[in-house]
Amino acid sequence: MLSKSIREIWPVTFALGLVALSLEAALAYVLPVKFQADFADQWMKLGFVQNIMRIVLGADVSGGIGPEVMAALAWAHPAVLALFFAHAIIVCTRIPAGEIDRGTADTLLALPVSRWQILCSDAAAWLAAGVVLVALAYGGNLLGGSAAPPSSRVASERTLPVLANLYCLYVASGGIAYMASSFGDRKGRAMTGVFILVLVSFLLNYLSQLWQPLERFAFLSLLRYYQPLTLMRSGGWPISDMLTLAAVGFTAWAAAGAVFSRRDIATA
Amino acid sequence: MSAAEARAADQNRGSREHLRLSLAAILLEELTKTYGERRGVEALSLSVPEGCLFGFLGPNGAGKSTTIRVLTAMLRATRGRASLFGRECWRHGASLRREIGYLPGDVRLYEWMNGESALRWLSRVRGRDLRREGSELAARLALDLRTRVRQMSRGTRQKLGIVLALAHHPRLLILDEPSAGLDPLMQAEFRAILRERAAAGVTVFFSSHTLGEVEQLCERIAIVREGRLVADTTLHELRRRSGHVVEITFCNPSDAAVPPPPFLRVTSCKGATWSGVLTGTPDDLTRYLAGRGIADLSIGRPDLETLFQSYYAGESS
Repeated sequence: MLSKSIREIWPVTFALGLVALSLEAALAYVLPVKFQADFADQWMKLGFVQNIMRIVLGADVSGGIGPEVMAALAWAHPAVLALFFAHAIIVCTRIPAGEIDRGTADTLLALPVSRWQILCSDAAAWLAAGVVLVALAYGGNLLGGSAAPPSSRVASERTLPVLANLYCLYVASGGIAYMASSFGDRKGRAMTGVFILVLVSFLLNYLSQLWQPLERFAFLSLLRYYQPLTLMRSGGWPISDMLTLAAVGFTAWAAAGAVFSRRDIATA
Repeated sequence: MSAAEARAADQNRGSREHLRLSLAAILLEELTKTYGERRGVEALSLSVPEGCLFGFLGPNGAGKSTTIRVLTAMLRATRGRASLFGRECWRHGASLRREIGYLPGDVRLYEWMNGESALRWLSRVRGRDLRREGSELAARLALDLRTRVRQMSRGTRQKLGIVLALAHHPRLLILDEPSAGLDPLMQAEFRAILRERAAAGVTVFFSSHTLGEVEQLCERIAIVREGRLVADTTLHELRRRSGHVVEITFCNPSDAAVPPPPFLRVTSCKGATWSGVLTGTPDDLTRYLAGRGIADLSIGRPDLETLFQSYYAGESS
């Protein structure tokens, strides 16, 4: 079962991994080389730019733009986050909704394995694919960073906690995607549902920093538990954020398993 | 008979009944499956002994696929019980599927696969090398295992589905309209394979909506209609009760105006033509027609609707 899941996941992992690698390489080079000076000298004098940076990075940047801010921006960039979310949504809505949708559920469920075994094998392949995706993105980051001046580089021990935190964010979104998929028969609908949830989470995190009344709901946003700039500055491991995201992912995945193992499966 | 003897006889009957049920490859007891308000099957009771070639007949939407999906643990029974080899289908689904070969009505396989990779995958999942058996079956069905699924026609996909369902030599074959998409030559070869398997003791549960297909293969037949069991009988009994569909056109329209003989149930009379069901023998009919001018005559097996009508007519009489 694992080999089947890997066979199905690797093309999208490879494709999005290459995009992540290229994107990170570009950001790691372009941000410090082309934008850091401009940010520090001109843009940060504008109040709304400061606000946007604070919203995107989840921390105050009025103290100055150092290399760690640019490095954090490379990991908090909406395009990077969208890539990780997209991978999780595409991969984790395949079972069962994707299988039912394309009519292969009959073939899959005729095998002498339990539904939990199917889900566990698939989740193992998904978690491994997530590691590959993060590794490729980090590879791109190192590649881009190596072309930038040494003074603009950030030590790798400050980046690793960000990567771990990003991986946990990926796990949480994937778990939610599994849950949405377990209720439905159509992959498209499950993907749309998760996309809307992620978008709401995104907006909630950003808007809660602008509008005080939303602040008390900010804990509901997944991005609340992903703060690259804080990690870059402190160099510490965000254990509680990672545990929160992992718990969300695991709970949603386990709920998906409970639903999938009990529900009727009827292909069209 | 003393009370003790009566009790012993009861126990004996009970254990014989238990043995009969435990020997059944398939046992449905008052099986009901509903989808919200919509009916799937209702209070379906059926027992299929091991080694039997069993035809499960019904028009589209009658509940055949629902029953099969309950048997393969894709659906959970709303009420009643479905078991295979004495084990409840839903609870023991994964272990039962080791002993089952299942062919869905419309076989869909992963597009990146070809026959060879599908057999390799199945071998890994089932824990034994199925490539030799698979290749032999493929050769009999004239299937090229190197063709990718995305390039296969429906008939070729069906052949690969058959290979994957049979390669591990299951004790029970559950086939949902298996001949769909196969050409007549391949249908004949497929029937030959099923007969061989049945001769080796494999139980074959075969659903179809065409009587002719089931007739050529099955010893016993159940007919389901609108979710309910209409008949559970032998092929011989079914043939006896279903009769033949007859259409007779007389040369002289006045011959068609007289009451038909008792062994011919005329359902429509248009001009000089009678259409109906022959409940007697063909010999009765030829005797009756001798001496009358016949412009045209056809006699054949009834379709399902006519068969149901025959059955209902039989039940009410």
